[in-house]
Amino acid sequence: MDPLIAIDNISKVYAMRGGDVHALRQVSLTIEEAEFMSIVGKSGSGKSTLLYLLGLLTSPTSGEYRIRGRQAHGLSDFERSQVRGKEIGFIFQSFHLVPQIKVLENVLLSARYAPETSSTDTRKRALELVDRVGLSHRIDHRPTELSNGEMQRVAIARALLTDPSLILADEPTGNLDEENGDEVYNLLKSLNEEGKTIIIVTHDAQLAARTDRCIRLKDGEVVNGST
Amino acid sequence: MAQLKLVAEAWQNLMLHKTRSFLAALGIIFGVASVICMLSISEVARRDVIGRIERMGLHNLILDSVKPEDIRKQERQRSEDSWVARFGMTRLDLDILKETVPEIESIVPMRVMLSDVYANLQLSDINVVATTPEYTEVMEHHVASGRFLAAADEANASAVCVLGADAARKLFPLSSAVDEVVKIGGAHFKVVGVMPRKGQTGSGGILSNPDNAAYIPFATSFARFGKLQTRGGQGVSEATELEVNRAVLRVRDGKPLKLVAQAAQNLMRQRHRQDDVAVTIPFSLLKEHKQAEQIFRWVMGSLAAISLLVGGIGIMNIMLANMAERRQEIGLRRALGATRRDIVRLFVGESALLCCLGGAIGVGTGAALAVAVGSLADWTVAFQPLSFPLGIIVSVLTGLIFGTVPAINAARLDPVLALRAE
Ligand SMILES: Nc1ncnc2c1ncn2[C@@H]1O[C@H](COP(=O)(O)OP(=O)(O)OP(=O)(O)O)[C@@H](O)[C@H]1O
Ligand SMILES: [Mg+2]
Repeated sequence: MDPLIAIDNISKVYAMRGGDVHALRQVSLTIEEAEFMSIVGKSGSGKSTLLYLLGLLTSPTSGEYRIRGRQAHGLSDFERSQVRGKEIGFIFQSFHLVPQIKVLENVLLSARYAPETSSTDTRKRALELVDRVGLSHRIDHRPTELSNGEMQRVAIARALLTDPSLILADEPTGNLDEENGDEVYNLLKSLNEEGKTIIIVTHDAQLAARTDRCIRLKDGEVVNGST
Repeated sequence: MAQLKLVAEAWQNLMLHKTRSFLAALGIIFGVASVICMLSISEVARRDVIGRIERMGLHNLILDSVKPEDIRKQERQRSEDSWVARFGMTRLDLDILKETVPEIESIVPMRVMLSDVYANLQLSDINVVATTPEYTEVMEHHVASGRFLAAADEANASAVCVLGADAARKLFPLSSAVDEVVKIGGAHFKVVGVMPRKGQTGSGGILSNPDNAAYIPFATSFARFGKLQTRGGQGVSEATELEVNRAVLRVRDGKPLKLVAQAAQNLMRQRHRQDDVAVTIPFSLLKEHKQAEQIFRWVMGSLAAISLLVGGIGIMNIMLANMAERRQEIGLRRALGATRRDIVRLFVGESALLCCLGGAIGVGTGAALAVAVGSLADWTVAFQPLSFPLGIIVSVLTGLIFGTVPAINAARLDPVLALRAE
């Protein structure tokens, strides 16, 4: 069977006025279904770039990317967006909740671009997810009224609404204290145990150590880790 | 269904910034409102002018006696106490005109009398016009009750009269005027008929207000009051010898109005030493007016276009600011599975809805404004019915057009950069 994701010799170059920036250099990786892995490295080493590339938010300058055996290269904007909407859930360091709308509406936002589901089912599921992250009593609050830990839990609920098989988290604990960080870790861990593939970009060595697999990037290259 | 969702979402997003949305739409609101209001006012004016011209009769020619300039001058400089102004068309002129120009089917003379009108000892401001029985055919104005002046009245110079609608209402507010008696210039006249409302014809003067007149037989006016009419003052008296103030010529069907007008004018010039007859061709007036209207339409159209352009630029500005502020949200939506097209739809939808609402408010405001102006100026408001839906549709189009550029900019954003934006 095909691995969930296989990338081969991927490079990403940003052409800047001051010269090319090589964000990724010939990275090859295989990620199996239900893996729990982390990507670490210094600031600017290309971690986020790699994560967004895996999430089809950006394209490589060269190299091959296959998701479930499918070449990502030839996909249209529509197809890539569909894969993101259906298969991938993103979690960000700065949460990216829409400040003007309520918690529940923020969670529901991810159903907006997913293929047809009945709105009552979606709503029920959203309520369940909010309950799962322990925020049932805050559904009518706005993000600005929440703590960082709570905001990140809302973001996790949002990422889960369309039941994606792949969760991509860019420094999900970067803005959280230890306690909230642990809570987020536990949530991600339990999701992994349910069979979801989790990829976490992090600066936190302790968090990385608690994942099943860790990849270290340096200047856009993979310097250790099993491929 | 998806469209409905889009509208709902756009509505929600607009409501998040009520003040800003309102300010953004202000240009559209004022633009549409002023155009609707101006269109309404021009429509009122148009109906008024066209009505006045049409009521003169599009098959008719109008000959008016005008006081020549040197008589006016003499009047101003005169030293004597009494004075007679002699000018204008005579009965003889009209007879000759009828004989020499065969294209004329009939001629209706009108003579404005300076006599006072009393009913039940009450003086009124009603005008007296002497005319012939053909009036009703030529002016296409038939009695509402009773009868019009008849040939026999003319032959016998009878003391009968027919009242215009307003005149009848003023003199006899409670009863039918027919068979009542009015006192005109000291003599008793029996009311034999009442005319229906006609409305203003032509422009200015006693003869332009047919509803406020009492009509007496043309022959009676000479038999009873003579050729000379005096307007008394203390020690001073002005007299006018004017037989016919206006002659309405009905031209036979299919005959060229312009040539007949020319012939009439020439004849009058030959017979009079002074230039004292003016010819009006209502049909030509109508044509001229319609041409002027076309120009006016272009002007209005350009004004509308300019105001929508200004409104559209306002919308574009706000949408660009809106987009810059929502970069992270755009990145997020992309991450959640929004295509570029979804992003375009999101923003175009917002600007189109905003403009649609602005257009609707503008139409409402404009209509209200027109009604307000109408009630101040005391006229019945008229609207071009198409202007309402058109105002909204054009506004929506403005929103679509001017919302597209910012929306495409938003869709082109690199999602990764957008997510990074602070
Ligand atoms: N859109 C872009 N345009 C130009 N250069 C970019 C862009 N995105 C990233 N880079 C550059 O690519 C390199 C890798 O960036 P990336 O964000 O992947 O690093 P990172 O490991 O996530 O860093 P951090 O830990 O600070 O988040 C950096 O040198 C960065 O400046
Ligand atoms: Mg990063």
